Amino acid sequence: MVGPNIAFWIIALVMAYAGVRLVTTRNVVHAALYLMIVLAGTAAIFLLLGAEFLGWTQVLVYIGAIVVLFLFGVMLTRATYGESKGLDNDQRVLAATVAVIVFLVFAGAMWKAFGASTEIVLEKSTTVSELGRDLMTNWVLPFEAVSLVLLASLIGAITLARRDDPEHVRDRGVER
Amino acid sequence: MQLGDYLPIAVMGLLALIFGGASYVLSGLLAPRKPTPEKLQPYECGIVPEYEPPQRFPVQFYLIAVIFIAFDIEVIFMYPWAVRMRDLGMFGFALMGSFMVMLIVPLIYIIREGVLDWAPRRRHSRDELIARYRAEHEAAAREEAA
Amino acid sequence: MDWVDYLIRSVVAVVVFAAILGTCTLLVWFERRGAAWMQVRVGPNKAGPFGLLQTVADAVKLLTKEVFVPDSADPLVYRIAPLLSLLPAFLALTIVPFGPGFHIGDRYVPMQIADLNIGILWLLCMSSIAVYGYILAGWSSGSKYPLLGAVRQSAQVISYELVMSLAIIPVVIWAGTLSTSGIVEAQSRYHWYVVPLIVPAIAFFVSGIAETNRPPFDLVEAESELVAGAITEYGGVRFMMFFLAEYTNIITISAITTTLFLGGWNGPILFGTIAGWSVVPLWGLFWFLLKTGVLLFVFIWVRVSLPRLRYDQLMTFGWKIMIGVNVAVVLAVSFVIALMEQGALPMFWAPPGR
Repeated sequence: MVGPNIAFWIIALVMAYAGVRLVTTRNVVHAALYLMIVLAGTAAIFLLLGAEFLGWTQVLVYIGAIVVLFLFGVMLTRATYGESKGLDNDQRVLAATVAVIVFLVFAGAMWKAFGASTEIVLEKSTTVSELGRDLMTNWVLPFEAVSLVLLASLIGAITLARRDDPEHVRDRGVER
Repeated sequence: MQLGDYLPIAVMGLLALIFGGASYVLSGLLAPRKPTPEKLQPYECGIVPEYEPPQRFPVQFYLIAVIFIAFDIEVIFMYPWAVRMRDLGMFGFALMGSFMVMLIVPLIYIIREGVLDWAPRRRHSRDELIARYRAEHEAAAREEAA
Repeated sequence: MDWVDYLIRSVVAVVVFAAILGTCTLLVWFERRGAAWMQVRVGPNKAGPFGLLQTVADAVKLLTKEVFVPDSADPLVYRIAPLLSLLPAFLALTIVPFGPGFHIGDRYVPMQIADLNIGILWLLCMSSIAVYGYILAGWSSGSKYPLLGAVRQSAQVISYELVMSLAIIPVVIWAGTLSTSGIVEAQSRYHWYVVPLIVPAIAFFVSGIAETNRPPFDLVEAESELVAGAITEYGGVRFMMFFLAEYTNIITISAITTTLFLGGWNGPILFGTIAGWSVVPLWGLFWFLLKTGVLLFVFIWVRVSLPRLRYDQLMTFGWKIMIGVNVAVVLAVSFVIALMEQGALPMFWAPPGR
């Protein structure tokens, strides 16, 4: 299994480069595009590991929805062109500490699960059908809990964004 | 699944990119290149543009994107379920029914909150307006007759 | 699967690519000529017989037009955006089965570029990536009309994408698979899904029209009333890329609607072999092209016939009516299937997928 390993290293290097550019670029929209590359790389790694449904769901949800939301946010607030100031602050040490801790946690979990094995488990790829069966039998409770989490997030988003000055509440919906 | 399945797709993508790139190159060879300061200005119906950078947008667009994410994730969860629906039977229906309640309730809440109302809501219904117009018309006619 | 099989599929990809370009050319011609015919005008009739070469002439004209990057634009993103619009348009078509496969010698030649297990998910992914072409074009132009157009357009596209993914779910329940070839096969055994699933079929096609920003949902472009939406600042060859992407998307939507709801390449079986040669693949291809062609005609027909919507009508229609109806349909279909699996209802319309 040399091919997938080479592919992994190429993807990983591209992701690492895009990740560094993501935090160093001075342009918010460019940062969002670098984020897109990082997420696409994650999807590609899922594909390499045989998780086809997960990989494309990653593309659909993260690239197709969440980065679009970022871009919307950027455009709705300050659609500046070229470099923008104020993208940097003096908390680099804190950020670096957090990054190292996150890395250690992930690396520890990986090491515990797989050890030093570099085998890629392509032949054990999961079909959607198997995924559906497991989701509906072993993982019913988390599945239903997800819907609650989404419900909460929706209500939170609306509550944050709606206008609730007294005058507006009086004739809600009339002036929009 | 085999990764090789994606090879012909990559060929297709490459063809599209080559076609696009070739068109760019061809246009670069064929097209004239005479930029003037006026030509390079942003479009503004033929006059000199004034308001730059662009103004802010209504927050509703952002809300649409937030709502879209949540609903998109819910719909994605439905796909593995839909594939297995025939085996799951009534249990599957009940499971997805309770899941969908979590989609329907916020949708109703969103509509009630007016998040999806883009235009000014009509203060009077069409029938009301017709009735009022008719009443005025009849009153005027009576006045005239008197 | 060895390398010869991949080579065969790659050749299929090349053929399909050429076919798409040809169909786009014809479609643009028919859109103008057909619209003229419906509106009792003459339409383009100078270039070639019946004006058939008009699109070619337009392409040459666009290639020789000056291209420039506006001062306020982000140069790199401005140049990449048209290609980002073109790429998903072509990639989405790769999962469509155009006809039944056939054998040359002992080699199997599929009339499909890639038969993915998660075919429908791939389609949704490509349509969600297609948003980027517009958003980035609008933002990178550095001008207020494109930006406004981009935000409105992408809000429209993501709204109707939701409708689209909801409208596919009944098909998945019915067929029990996400693979497009599997769905066509399931329809060849029993009935076309448009029969029991007429509501999702209409919802899918309508949201497809909205996804491609075609009339009556083209209010962002609205040529005669507003500037051209996200692509206001584009001209020449870059405009041509957006144009090509739009027409490719139209073909994709028609082909996918055919695949999911109209039985794909299935047609009435009249003959199996002529003079010892199996004509089933050609016969299937004929039916696929016929159905897709009818849907393409509907695209043009709708454009000529219907007035444009207002933005609030568009959003109200998408979120309140389409999503509401489709959620109800998904629940109803799953309930009916559950009853059938229990034996409470006869398995008339929903024989087991496996």
